[in-house]
Amino acid sequence: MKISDKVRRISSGIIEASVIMATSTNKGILIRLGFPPSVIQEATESDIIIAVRAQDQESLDLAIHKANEMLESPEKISAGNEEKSRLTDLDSALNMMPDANLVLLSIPGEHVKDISLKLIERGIHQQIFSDHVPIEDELEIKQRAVKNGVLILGPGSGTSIINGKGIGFSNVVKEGPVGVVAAAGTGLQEVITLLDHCGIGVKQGLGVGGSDPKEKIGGLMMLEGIKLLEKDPDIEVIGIVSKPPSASIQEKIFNFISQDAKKKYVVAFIGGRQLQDDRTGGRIIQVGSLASAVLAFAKHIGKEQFMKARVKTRISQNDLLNMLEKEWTKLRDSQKYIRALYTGGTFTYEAQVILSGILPGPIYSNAPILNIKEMASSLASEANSIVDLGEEEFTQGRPHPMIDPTIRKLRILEEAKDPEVGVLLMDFVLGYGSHPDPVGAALREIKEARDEAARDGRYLSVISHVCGTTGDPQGYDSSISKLQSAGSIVLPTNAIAAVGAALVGLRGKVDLEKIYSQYLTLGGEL
Amino acid sequence: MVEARKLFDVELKVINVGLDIFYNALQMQNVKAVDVNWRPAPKLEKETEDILDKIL
Repeated sequence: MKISDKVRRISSGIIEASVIMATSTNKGILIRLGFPPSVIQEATESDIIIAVRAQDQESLDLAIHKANEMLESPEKISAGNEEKSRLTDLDSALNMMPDANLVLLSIPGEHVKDISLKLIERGIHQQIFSDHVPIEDELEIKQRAVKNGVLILGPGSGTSIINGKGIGFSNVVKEGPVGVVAAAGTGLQEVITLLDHCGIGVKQGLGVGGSDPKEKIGGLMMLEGIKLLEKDPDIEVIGIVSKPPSASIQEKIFNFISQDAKKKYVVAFIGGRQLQDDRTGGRIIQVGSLASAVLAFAKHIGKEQFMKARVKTRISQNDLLNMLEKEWTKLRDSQKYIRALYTGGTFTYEAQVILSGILPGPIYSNAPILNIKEMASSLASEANSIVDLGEEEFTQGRPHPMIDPTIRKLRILEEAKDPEVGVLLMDFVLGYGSHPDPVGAALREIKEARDEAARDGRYLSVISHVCGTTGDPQGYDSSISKLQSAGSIVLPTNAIAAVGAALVGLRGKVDLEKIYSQYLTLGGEL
Repeated sequence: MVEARKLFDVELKVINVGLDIFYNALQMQNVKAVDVNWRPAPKLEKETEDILDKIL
């Protein structure tokens, strides 16, 4: 992965470079990237393939030469000012930093338990990004951790904010009175970035992993996280962001926060109901989308912040209709389908929740929720499809699409070839850990997709959401400008982007009043 | 049993085990961090393992 990345960056004339083992999965990916199958299939499992697409012969030769050089002399991979010595075992690291208070693990899931239990014995907190940790291992780790007072974020936790610092995939946000416990990585990123736009800071954001609120784990770390945030004197409002947990876990959480907790709460179970709990004097607000969660936080913090949040996270129904009418009037009658190409798992989930309540026809996904059909193949969209490109089938042997946008670039071009597609819906996640320019990396494909459609006499509507802040290294404003210059409509939240895609797909025939009250506003402020 | 270390309201000291992009992100934020290029212990062939079992 590292050599591929280095080769891609050697010259602007190099369009795509992959230096990978010739496994069957990798060969399949290269063929889908447009490299000739007859050549790719010749490679055997013990071969390494150098596949380069370049604008000119000089760039091509240079890329192949450099790739060969790095393969022959691995020390050249780290050439330049990135030279640094890396330890190769955890014990040496513990000796070098004996007072470490957090270990961030991104190793194969089967190895997590041994390392994690060893760290728990030392009283060291952990964020575990690794996927594929057996659920039995997760339970054992978390039960042991609870006994020892150790915090376990994950497995599958890509994002946290601790003491205002981002761990893993994270955004540059102001520090402030909000603490969040989240079982949804990009859900946490969406909430903290939107809060930042409203001038509300976040001190702690604890990503506990998607399995934590499931029956088997029992919300162990969600509850531990809430208890920790209750004790933090700087935190005024605590948020809980997750797909709806099972009924018994919800009951456990509500029992604790209504009876034993003192602080103000925002409970955002995506797709769940909206409710302000009068029994607690409005101390607990329950919402069903990430955007509504931000309004609820702002309502708890103060009037000024609430007014700002209404401006920053919303767009009026009329403005949205006026903006998008210009899109749908350019479509042919046959262009009725939406294709959502997501890098964020929570965005995929939220879009399914919203679109399943709007679109009349079947919706397909590779990570389907209730009422959504499972795609026959993740590699081929059908009708309305909402694809999570971060799912396992896309990340085996490749980095996550938030790091390497290649898979999505390819998919953008493929969807554009389908004459029944009217709308492409996409997320662009900025921040630490993400690609240095996720928007810039996809621009050429967005333009090419629209040109391809135009050559066929079609218009292709592209609707995007940028999840990021003005402090993020990729540049929030410039990312939005670049998308707009490529003809994309950019909307302020993922929820509004999903509604926008539906509006275009259905030529404006959407009950906006209902959708706005369910997902885009807060009860009582309509 | 060792007491859990303090995490909130103390300086963060992180050991990153695995993806170096996360280590780079910590460095960009001036968080004290150590990076481990972790590799799994090599798996022995079953035959070699049996022989070693007999010898050791």
